[in-house]
Amino acid sequence: MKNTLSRYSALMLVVLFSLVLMTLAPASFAQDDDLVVFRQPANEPDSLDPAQGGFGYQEMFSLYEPLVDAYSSAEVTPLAAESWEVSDDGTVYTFTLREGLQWSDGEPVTAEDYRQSFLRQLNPATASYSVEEFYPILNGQAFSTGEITDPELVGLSAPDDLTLIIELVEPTPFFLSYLGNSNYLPVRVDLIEEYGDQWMEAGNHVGNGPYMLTQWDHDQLMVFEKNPFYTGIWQDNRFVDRIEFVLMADAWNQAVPAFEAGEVDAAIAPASELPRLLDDPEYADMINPVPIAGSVILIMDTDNAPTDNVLVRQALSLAIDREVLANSVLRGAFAPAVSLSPPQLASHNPDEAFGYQYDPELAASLLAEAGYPGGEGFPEFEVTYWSVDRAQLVMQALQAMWSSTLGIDVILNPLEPGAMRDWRISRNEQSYNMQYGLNWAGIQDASQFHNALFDPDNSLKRSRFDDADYVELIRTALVEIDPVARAEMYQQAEAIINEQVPIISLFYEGQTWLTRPYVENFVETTTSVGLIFRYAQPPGLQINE
Amino acid sequence: MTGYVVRRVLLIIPTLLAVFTITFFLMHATPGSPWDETGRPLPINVVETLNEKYGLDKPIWEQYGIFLWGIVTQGDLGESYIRQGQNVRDVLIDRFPVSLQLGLYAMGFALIFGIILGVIGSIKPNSLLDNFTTFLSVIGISTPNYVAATLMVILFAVWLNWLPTGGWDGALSNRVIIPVIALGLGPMAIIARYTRSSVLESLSQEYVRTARSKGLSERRVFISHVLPNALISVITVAGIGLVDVVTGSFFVESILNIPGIGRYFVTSVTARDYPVIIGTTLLYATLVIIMNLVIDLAYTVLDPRIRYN
Amino acid sequence: MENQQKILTSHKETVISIEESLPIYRSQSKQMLRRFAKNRASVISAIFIFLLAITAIFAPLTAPSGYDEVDFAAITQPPSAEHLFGTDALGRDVLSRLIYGARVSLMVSIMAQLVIVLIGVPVGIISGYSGGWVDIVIQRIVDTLYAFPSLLFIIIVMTYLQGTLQESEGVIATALSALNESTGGLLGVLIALGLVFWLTVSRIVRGEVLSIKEKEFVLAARAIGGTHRHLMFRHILPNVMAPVLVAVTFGIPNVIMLEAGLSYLGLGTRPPVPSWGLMIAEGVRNFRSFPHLLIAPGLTLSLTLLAFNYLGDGIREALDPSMRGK
Repeated sequence: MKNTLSRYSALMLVVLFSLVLMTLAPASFAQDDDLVVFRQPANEPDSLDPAQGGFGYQEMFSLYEPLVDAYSSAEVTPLAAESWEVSDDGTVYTFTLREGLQWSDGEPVTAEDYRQSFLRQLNPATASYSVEEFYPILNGQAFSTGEITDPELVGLSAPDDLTLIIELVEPTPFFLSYLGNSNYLPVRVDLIEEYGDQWMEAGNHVGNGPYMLTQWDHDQLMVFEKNPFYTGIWQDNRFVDRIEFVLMADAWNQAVPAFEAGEVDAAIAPASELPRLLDDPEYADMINPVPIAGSVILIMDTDNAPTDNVLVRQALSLAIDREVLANSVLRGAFAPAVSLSPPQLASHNPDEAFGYQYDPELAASLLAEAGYPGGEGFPEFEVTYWSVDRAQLVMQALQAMWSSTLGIDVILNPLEPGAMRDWRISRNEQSYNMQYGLNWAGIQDASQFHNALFDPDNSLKRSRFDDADYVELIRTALVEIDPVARAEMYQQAEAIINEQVPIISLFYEGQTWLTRPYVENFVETTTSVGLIFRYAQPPGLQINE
Repeated sequence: MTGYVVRRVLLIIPTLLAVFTITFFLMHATPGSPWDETGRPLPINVVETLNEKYGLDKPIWEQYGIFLWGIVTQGDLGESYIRQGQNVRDVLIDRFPVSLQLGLYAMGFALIFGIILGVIGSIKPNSLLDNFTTFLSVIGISTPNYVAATLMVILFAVWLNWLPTGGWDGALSNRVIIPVIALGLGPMAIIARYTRSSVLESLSQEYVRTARSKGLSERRVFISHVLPNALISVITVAGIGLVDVVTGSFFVESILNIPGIGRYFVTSVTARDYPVIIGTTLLYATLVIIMNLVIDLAYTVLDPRIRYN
Repeated sequence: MENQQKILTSHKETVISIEESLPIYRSQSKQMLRRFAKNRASVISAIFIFLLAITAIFAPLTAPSGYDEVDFAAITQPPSAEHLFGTDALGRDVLSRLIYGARVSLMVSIMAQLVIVLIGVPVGIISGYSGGWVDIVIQRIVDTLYAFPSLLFIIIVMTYLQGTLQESEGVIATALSALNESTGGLLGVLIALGLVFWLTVSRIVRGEVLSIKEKEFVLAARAIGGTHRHLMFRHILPNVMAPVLVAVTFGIPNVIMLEAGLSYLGLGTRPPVPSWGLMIAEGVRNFRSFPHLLIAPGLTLSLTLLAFNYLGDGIREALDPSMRGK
């Protein structure tokens, strides 16, 4: 009798399993055979507004077109602006727009559109996240803080539809790079007023880029298609008809399975996947390491013992085996630092980098010279960082390195990322020992690593390093127009930092992209943007197999 | 009975108020602000404008009052601080059905397979088969759902290429299979254990013996007497399980790119997106309260003894 | 009404399947032990847990190396004679980390249960024994707290604690901070769990008290003039401990699993202190490249939870003979 029952249950089990199996079908997205579709994983953008944070560059540069292209190569090249002139004193820029440019709703793109967009960034009511990048514009800062309210006083004018004149406060050699950045993208101010908060949704959104937003299912899928009114540089080179962004919770760490399953054509591989992918003959050739102009850094409080002593700082830096850190612990996903700033910047100076040699003996003797032989008597030393995976791994490795070569046991203080932001701001007044941080060059300019990190007038005090000669040097360099002289000054400045090490770089940022063989023509950018797919293909190549 | 239900329903109001109050003050007491995501602090005037725009410059009690007033009078939970232009209530209305469907499917899966496993186990206690089903249950209990989800993606999507790696196409696509199993394994195990012990308990009851003595076949006895009684308590367990599954789905939603509420909640905690945190918590609290009430009522209906006791 | 109320709310207990237990008399304890000894699976489980606890307590002696002994020359090695379970991303011995991790995971779950019992039992007894308005007030509070979605609440509490504990000043904060340090940063888990899960225990206890209160031996004690305190502690408390013990045994695996979930969100232990949850979270991220990082802690966790489940079954059956003979 009991046997019957168990047979009965077993039968039910089999039936249910087959029911489940019947719903199985091969995985694929709906596809239109006539179109070339490029599928890319991406994080859900917080917005598509150049004045807000939390967007992807790939999306932004497909939807909008800046005046110039400042990220594809070391040189700034024309994009929406056909040409430009800079006055001899370096403070007045006159741009001539390409003729016949149109928004994705068919309206003409005018110089006034750019002017209005830049004014919107400066408008206090917009509360733009990137307002500081507009401070070089004459009266820009005063307008943004409400000191002056007349937009006519701001150094922006559009005498006719194709001419945009920008006046600056002082010579700003990197201003063209700013103009190519995502913050200086034009938006349709009239539509933002009309649609309010909903202007970025599909159907409402209008841009001037080669592609336009046609569908946005939040947290699932965002679709771009060719902008039919686009007449810019890329007009005849848009090989891809349709871009599908598969929106993920964490596209940087989650996309590899989707790539392997053939659901996307490109993906970023996290460090933990690299050893396997490199060993796999199927994928080894699809790996494209993309360097990013950014560093992972440790910032020390130079007003607070023991790191007020340069010997201690040098000892801490010299005791770090950056090769092991980057190549073993982080599996070669990032390049070990050889100088404070990454190689993309003119200040990169590995030849004069005392603090970047790995020399355990010298490190130990420097620490002894500072009064802590073998780490004896070294005060309690706390490193604060955010509790995300990579930082946890890096800090545990450093803790071990310092312990074995210097005999100091540093205390690890991981903070929840939100709390870490508060902590950092509070350290403008309070002292600390050491903090972990990232510094990315939003534009390809050395000031992003020197003036941004060390100018005492900066809103963030960070290391409190206040060497008068150094500060003088970076302030002079900032406004120097001659690129050669400027680069030289930043090289000198970097040599000072590499020797004094108030901030040390651990490794340079990078992304490891997996791309299918049929995906070509992507651009490794020179700034923190990373990789940009141009969607332009030589004819005859198929994006989808 | 009616009085009891009315009292329980009325209790929802003070309960939700308490949930709101605790969440509100706990979140505001946590260090961090919704702004300057990028790590680079924003200029002070920008922060001030943002605080003013969202009313964060007001005293905390006033903020509390305004927020509460908005909920009570208009059911308005405010706008997300982080995601531009997204009204929290609308987002929750969009996403809750996804999480709920997922939860219901997962519980359906858990019930079917849990009961089958439990019944198999109870047929011959402590036999090899019983131990095997116990083993399966423990695997279910001891596998965190994010591990199950990750492993299933590797197996079914990457290696076998049977299923997609994630996403959501509504309740009738094959995309639901991996998340449903990942979410359902835990409750399935609990239900299996529970079914097994209830069946064993029912088997020794008086009425079962009576039924047998009447000459009914063993199968008839089992299907019409033992199982229904054993399942009363199983269903209440399933009710609680549903709440746990719906509120605990954020790992699975993140890993499998499902646009449900769980995924939204976790990112909003890190980003200090207060309206989203509060909205989600209130929604889940309502779900918990309603489920508790439903379970209690179901218990009364299913088990007539309660009314007479 | 009283009874109806009790049964109406009794579904919470049923999750961990507590049968109403009979009053326990001291003379029964030998019988119980004998009943427990007959259950082979439970005995093996008890031995396993005992050995695990010993291994964890004497970790410095039993572990092949320290949990934070980094070896950059031996990163992510597969299992070998030297490293039985292989090494992790910093070349640390996985077996040693598992043993030290057992310390954290077991200590946290046992301490969490302690917190739960210390709050839940007194509240349950007072509520059930007093009856009247005290009972009503307590039950209203319990109902309210029940409405908190527990996992969400724990995440919010953990975020709050991780943000504030490190940075706050003052005696209490410092003491809490020290306690936090010694549990590898899991104090928050204890607090959050205690706040959420004592409800279940208090309901179980209250239910038990309600039924015991009317039993003959209690009535007799009351008749001969026993004080309330005497009644509560000498007669009622010992008799409710049985279901509480079962609840605790089944609760321990819950805590271990929850810690695993929090670790995945980055809200777990502070490095380099290992916990099983942390190791599983790390393992799952590295599974494709280094499967041993998931398999070792995963199997250990499964075995331990299996043991706790059998142990719980054994204890329940020993305490409640009606469950015997299955």
